[in-house]
Amino acid sequence: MKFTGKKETVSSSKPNESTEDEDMRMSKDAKLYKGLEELNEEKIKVLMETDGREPEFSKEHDAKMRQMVEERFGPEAADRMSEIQMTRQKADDDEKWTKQNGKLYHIYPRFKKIAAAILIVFMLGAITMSTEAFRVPIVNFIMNFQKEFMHISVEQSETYTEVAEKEKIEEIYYLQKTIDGYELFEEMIEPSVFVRRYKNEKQQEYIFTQRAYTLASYFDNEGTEYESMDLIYGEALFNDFNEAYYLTWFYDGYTFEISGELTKEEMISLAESLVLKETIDEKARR
Amino acid sequence: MVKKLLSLMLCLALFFTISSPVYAEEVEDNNEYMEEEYQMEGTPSLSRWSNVMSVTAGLSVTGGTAYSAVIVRGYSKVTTIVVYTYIQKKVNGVWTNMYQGIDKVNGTYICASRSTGVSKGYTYRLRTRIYAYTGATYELVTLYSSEKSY
Repeated sequence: MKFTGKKETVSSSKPNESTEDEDMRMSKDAKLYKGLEELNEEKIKVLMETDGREPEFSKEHDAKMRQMVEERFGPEAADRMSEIQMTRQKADDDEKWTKQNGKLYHIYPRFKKIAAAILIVFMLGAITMSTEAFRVPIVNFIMNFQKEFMHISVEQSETYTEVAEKEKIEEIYYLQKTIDGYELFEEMIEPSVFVRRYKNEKQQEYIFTQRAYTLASYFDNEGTEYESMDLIYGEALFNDFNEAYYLTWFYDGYTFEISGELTKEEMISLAESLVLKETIDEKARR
Repeated sequence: MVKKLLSLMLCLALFFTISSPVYAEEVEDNNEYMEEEYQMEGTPSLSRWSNVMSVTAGLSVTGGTAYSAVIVRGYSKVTTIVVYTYIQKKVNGVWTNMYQGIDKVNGTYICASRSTGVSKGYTYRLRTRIYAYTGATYELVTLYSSEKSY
């Protein structure tokens, strides 16, 4: 803050006053001006001591200054000093407000963009988390690579235990669809396995297997390609051999498998036509 | 310092990843299988998984009965598949054959299912030996199921 103590703000005259009064008044104004000059010098000194930073004078300081001016020059001079200080303070406040708001107006559009970006990232994160939360895996495929072979078994996910893993076949599932040109030629029902084999005129074959979860699949550990995919039942594994493909998935406590010389799309189409047919007791009675 | 720490952690993770299956591999079986070997004809092949495309096998133990199933699918060149099924019981830390069966098919696919009564308080597993023939030469695959406590 630069306190200038301009003359015109402290000297004023009234047209009806006498010359003597005017001289006395001038003398008082000169004294007041001198006092303010001293005060100004003191403030400049403080400013220099604070490396140009704006010093903050306490209310006690201002009150003391007012008291000093009042004692020396009277209450009128003290009022004028307060008036000058207030005018100056207002000007400073206005300048400060303009500076601050000017910066804010400059920052505001950028701030809006940053806020929007943060909001979008937050919303995307929230959506992703929700998706993850809904897609609870019901089964873990365990692929165990050993010296001479690899085997794939299933283990129910720890986070999903609503469906009991079944040690025996209790209900029989069928595939509603049959690939064009193929016909069912063999069906086997064993305590832990249900098998249906389909064949076409070229003696090409595909096999549908429903089995207890305790049975694992064993393959060559070299040259076998596998791919994880999503079916309506959850995760499924797709294995590629030279002569056949295997699609394995878990549903209702059983492991299901389709193997044969079919395309991936045909296998997925078959898998998604799975339907519960009857219980093992109903099948036995029939 | 951070790089060294990360490297050490990575080494440890790799070590445990590699070492875990090795411990799981230990299989102890003191039974005699001379009879099976006498019965088999033909010449063994040194190749692995060249006749057998896939095997699905396992043991279920429920309601006082152990159910085994072995499904073998061979490549189109396979002429005969023979499956030996052994249901084993762990007695005093030693695996003992308590049931055995043999299934044979002239073709590329076989589903061999067996069952036997079991006692409570023991651990069981399936041991299977699969002979997949191409003419007079056979490929042998030996597998053990996971252990089932009952």
